[in-house]
Amino acid sequence: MTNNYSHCLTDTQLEDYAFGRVSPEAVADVEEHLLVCSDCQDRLQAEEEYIAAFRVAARTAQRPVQWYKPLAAAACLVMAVGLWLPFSSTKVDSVDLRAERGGVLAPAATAVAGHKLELRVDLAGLESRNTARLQIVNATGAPLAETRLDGTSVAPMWTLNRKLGAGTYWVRAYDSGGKQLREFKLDVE
Amino acid sequence: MPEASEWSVVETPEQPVDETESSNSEQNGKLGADEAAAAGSPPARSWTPLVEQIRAGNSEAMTELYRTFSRGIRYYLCRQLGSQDLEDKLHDTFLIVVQAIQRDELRDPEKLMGFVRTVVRRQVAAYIDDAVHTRRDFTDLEVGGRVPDIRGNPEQRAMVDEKAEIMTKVLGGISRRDREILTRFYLYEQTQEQICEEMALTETQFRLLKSRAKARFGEMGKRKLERGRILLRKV
Repeated sequence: MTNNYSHCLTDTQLEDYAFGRVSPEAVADVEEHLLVCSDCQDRLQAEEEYIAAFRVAARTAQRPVQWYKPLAAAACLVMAVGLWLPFSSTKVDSVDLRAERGGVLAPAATAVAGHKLELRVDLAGLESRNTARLQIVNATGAPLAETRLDGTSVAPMWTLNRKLGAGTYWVRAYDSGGKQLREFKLDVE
Repeated sequence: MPEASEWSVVETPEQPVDETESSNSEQNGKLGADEAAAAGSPPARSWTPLVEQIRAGNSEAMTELYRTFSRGIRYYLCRQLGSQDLEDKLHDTFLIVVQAIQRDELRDPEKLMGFVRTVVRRQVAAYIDDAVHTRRDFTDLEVGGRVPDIRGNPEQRAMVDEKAEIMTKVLGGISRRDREILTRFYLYEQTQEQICEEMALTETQFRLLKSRAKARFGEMGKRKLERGRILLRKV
């Protein structure tokens, strides 16, 4: 007699199931076990609650702090002038998005809010991977802009058509099949 | 056995309700043995006697079937459809399972778990299909559809908010790099392999970070609960 009733799920299996990363063949094992094992049901529920709490907390942490709002009323005119000037600028900033080298993590690239940006993207090491497009997303993962690549350059230049406000962004390189190959962090201040 | 070999990406088509749809349980039975033993897994069980009693119409056997599977079915239905009309859906599903067993649709009793899973999944699909059609039918009348609110009821949302408050404190207490690692995993759903490659981490370092954050979350949650209990006692 063979069935999966006798072995509880590992933490990794529960995590993969919570994220929907289990293969169609293996998911049957997991779900059959969850039908009968209350311990694993409790553990899965705890895992999902943990993930949900993390996401709420992480998204909240990425929102701008609003404690300055009362002061902003008095400084509104100054802020309006201060904001208008950068957005009226036609200055183009070059930003290097570098991948890590020799195991040393490359720091996040930085840029100035409201400036036109020309991104130089480091695709060295991906020559055989057919990098097909670049995409920039904001801190919540919402895509903002995208560009196709011809796959000939290991350091393509991408001039963004839109100006970015302050915040954290991710520039991602994908192959023609849609698989993400590399990611760069961009802090706009 | 290395965990990476546990999951093979294999596409399998949907099968009719029979024993062929059940899992490759022999393979899975070998995996996670150490953790399973440590977790105090339920003992292995033969389903044949139970199934035969159900076929014979034994009401105690049906009670046993309900006792064994009701929590798991309820849990699955709630995850997929929300808590609305949960008990009715559970009852309907259980009835379908029993009737199918009594009609000899379960050829191999030892595949009972796979059989129940298949019935539950089909019920979920049917409920979703029904909800979509009902919503479509009512669109013109601007009446709210019966699509379940999977965000949960207000009480559940309040619990999530409370846990998020604890998590905010946990995140505030770790380095920016560690925060980024966890955010990549839990918010952006990047895989462990990708994160380790891009952030120059070993698998052990990654797991340690995750488990430390979880442990800290658990500790702070318990402390908060204890403070709540102390306040209640004072009142």
